[in-house]
Amino acid sequence: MRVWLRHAGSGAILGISLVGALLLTIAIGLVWMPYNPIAIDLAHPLAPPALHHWFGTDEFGRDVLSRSMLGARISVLIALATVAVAITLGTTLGLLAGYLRGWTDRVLMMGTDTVLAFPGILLALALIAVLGSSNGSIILALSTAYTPSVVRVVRSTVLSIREREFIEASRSAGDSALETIVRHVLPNVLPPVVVLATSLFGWAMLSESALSFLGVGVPPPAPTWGNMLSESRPYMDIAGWLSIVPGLCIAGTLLGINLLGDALRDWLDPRRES
Amino acid sequence: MIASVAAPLLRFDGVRIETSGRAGSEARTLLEGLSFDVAAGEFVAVVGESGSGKTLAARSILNLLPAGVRQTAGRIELQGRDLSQLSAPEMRQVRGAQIGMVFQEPMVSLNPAMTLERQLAEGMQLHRNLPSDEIRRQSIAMLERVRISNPLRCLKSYPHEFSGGMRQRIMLASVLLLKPKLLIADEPTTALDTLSQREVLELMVELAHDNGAAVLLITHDLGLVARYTERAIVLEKGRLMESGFTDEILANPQNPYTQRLVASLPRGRADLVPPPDSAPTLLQVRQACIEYPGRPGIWRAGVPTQVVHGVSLDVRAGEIVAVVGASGSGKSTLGRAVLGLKPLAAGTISFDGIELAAMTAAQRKQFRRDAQLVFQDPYSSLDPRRRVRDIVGATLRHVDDLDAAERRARVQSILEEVGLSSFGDRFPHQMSGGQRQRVAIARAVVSRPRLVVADEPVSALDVTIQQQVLTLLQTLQAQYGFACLFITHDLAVVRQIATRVVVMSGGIVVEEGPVASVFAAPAHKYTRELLEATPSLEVAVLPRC
Repeated sequence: MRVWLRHAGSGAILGISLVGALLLTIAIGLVWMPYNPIAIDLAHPLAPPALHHWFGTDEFGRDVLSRSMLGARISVLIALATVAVAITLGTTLGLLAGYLRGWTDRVLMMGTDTVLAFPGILLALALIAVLGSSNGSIILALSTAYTPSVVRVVRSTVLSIREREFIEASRSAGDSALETIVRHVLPNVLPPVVVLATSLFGWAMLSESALSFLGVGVPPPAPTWGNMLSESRPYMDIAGWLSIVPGLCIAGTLLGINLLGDALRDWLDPRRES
Repeated sequence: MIASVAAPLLRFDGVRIETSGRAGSEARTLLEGLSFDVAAGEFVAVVGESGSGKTLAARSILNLLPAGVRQTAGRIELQGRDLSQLSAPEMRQVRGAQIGMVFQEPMVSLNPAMTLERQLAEGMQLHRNLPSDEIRRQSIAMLERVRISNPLRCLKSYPHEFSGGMRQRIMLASVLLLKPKLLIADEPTTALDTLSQREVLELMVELAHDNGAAVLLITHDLGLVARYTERAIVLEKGRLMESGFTDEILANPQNPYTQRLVASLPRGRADLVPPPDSAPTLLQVRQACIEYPGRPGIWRAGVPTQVVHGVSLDVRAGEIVAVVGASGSGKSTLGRAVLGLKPLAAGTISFDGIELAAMTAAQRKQFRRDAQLVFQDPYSSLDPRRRVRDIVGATLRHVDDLDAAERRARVQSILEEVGLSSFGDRFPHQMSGGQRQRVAIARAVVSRPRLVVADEPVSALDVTIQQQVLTLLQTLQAQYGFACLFITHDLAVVRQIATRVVVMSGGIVVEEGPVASVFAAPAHKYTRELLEATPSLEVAVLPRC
């Protein structure tokens, strides 16, 4: 680990620290929070940061620190699940389309291009309108919106890899199409996928905020960083902490995830050893 | 011989080139104390393998060194003027106008977004103050000189409309339009097949003679050196090994490295014996036609292009058969089809008496083990994300009668046989081209195949490495007795390795027979042309003046 860190550079160390802090926050939030994050205390609305409310309170007197801790759990869960679904599905479809070509490719690409034709947020809105507003439907809606871009990236990478001779070598060794894809194509498409996954994570987090802002996100009173940010808007000039705290949380998480993704990509590259 | 009374046209005097050694890396010397002269009108070869610094030497003349590399000592003089002291604007006056350069890759050295008229005119607009109709007239005349038919149309065309050989001729035309005193040709024909290579080089010699230009030919090919140059400079790892008259160096090399280089050239071997007549036919190709699918529209299938038209050939057990032909002759496609990697449009291919298309699953599995492939490009044929041990072992994955320990042992023993016993844990990028190619051979041989299709296995390698790989392939073949379909464009290699040769052109077999008799008395016109175009050390067309 120490050797790896030395090679990884300061970006990776910062990335690991930020993501580590996030995970630690979520873990602590599971066992202890300073206040009940949804308990309303109308006696102390919009209290500025102080000793007993580190990050102040919101317009209903709810503790911002506690809400941020719970929000971390929900926001990260939604973003993570969205990315996991979009990457898994998108990579599978992209591998099939790119490797098999022919009709499979044409049908899959028609499908993804159709989905891509709609603005992602509009598509998510429509899906949520049909499915109803819940964590599950948000994840489903956002991953549907993101899958096509994963398919496109994976497919174009596969198109260049499948022409390389080691693919032919694998076929001439008697590997089936599935074996060739799993053993030789997939490992070679991972680097762009890792980078894409980290940026999708950011997009998912922002889109979840946007959905909350439009009122179809995670239903209140459950806090997410996104809806905390959107609810803080009317009080921005008199209670800046309401915007600053979730804003910093989102920014720090995105920075951490992106740095970690870059480090992961370098770490996955065998060329790094030389 | 050219009188060396006047100052030489080009003089290298103790030139040293180093990497600047920034960003923590050590400064490395890439070229050390290089001195030589080129007289006006002289043809000089700079010979060396990859990493010898021959291209750096050429680029340093025009001050076109890559970033982070610079000349740290010595002088490069053009007619007595030190080129390294010139200011950037002065250097621009020299580039093109006095020294022209032809690069290796004709596919990328012409700008694909510009018509040839603009590319040809560019140099003349910069260096010669000529009216545009005069520029056009000269361009057309020069295109005629390089034997481009219909030069008027050519001027309106874009580079992609021409073949590699034609592009290199056009490149030559654009460089020689400015009548430079020195022409630097950096591996100008390495990317071309034998026939276009000859065409381009002979034009180059002719035009340079007419213009009185000296030529500095950078190459790794001793055959070209023998044929086209008067003097040669041999480089290894940035040091001058030997210099002198070409014929003397090649006939009687003094330096150990040059001796090794000359000895590495593929030579005909008298000890090659064809398998006995009793050897059974292992591979039988009958009237094979192979097509590439055309580009399909949305609702219609593409129109296929046939690249192999009715080829028949036999390979007997233990026999090495060479398939020779220019690029585009369909020889590689045929090699793929033999392994069942490309479907046939018509005809049959049988292995050991069983037709490929009619094999049962079990037979196909056995076939995959019995027939193996070695590729041309060792950079693309090895999966960059797998270790050597996995790459070689992959061939055994579908061999059921070996357990894991036996597989490991088999892989290790074949790695020892190819001289890479300690390389099992390496990734491809940690090895040289020759080492990678040995991995590719180990991968093909590890399953004890009965047929190995080798598709240009040495044409991407340096001469000395090429010889090592050929020798290795021969040793393994002698030991395991597999038959081999050896696809190549290099007739010298054929002579060294094969007992029978099949000559392909335009997707058909034009001639076949024992190597000795085909080479001694080629029956087909194409074979004769190919043999004539293949440079060897014995011929030198340039008389020393």
